[in-house]
Amino acid sequence: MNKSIKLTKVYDFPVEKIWKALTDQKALSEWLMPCDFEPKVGHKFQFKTKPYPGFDGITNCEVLELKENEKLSFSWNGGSLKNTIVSFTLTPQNQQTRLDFEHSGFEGLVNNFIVKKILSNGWRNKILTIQLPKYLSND
Amino acid sequence: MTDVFKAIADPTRREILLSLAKNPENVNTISEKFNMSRPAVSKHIKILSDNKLVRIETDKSDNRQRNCYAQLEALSEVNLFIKQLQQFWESKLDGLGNYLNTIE
Repeated sequence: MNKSIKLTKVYDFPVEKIWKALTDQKALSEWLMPCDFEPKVGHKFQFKTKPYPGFDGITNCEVLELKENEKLSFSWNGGSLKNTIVSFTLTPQNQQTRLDFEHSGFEGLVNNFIVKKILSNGWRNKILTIQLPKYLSND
Repeated sequence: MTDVFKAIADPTRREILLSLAKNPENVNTISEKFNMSRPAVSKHIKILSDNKLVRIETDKSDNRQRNCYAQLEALSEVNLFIKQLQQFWESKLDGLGNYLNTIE
């Protein structure tokens, strides 16, 4: 199982421009998702998107690291994801900028899925369709 | 006992299974961790393995040790979820590129 998601992109723009797009609330709301981000370590904010079954559309975050033109990271909690961390690291390359993206902390996800599996998929059905009638018919 | 429901109904077995899902362990380590006798752990492990929730392998370097691995379909769901999440970020980072092109 993958412990994290790692992606690298190169943009044809100087690092300052990427940094602004990462740390400006309006910009972030536009290219990522609507949010109330503030560039301040410890600031708690939310991303809001359309809900779908099993996800209320809200991701709770907190700014963890803010190193101008270098690194931004924040926590990411929403839906099945608890205590995960998203980070953006910028490196200038001539006139371009390399972005190293990482989303990590999926250890808890395994547990959630297993617990969910135990509680819902199959298990609950089995309680309702087999165990319960069996129990009732024993009466 | 070959009833997956019963295998998982016991809270201790559930705890053991969740623990093994994180890290494979041998029977000794499990008994220390859960403060239980080796035979008691072996009994739980046997029930879990009878129901194909746990796979037991003899340790290659010490054949008295039996290593236990959780084997759960749930893991494939996790992988699928992470794959979808990766696609989400791929498209968002491409979106960032497009956004950068549109602003001054």
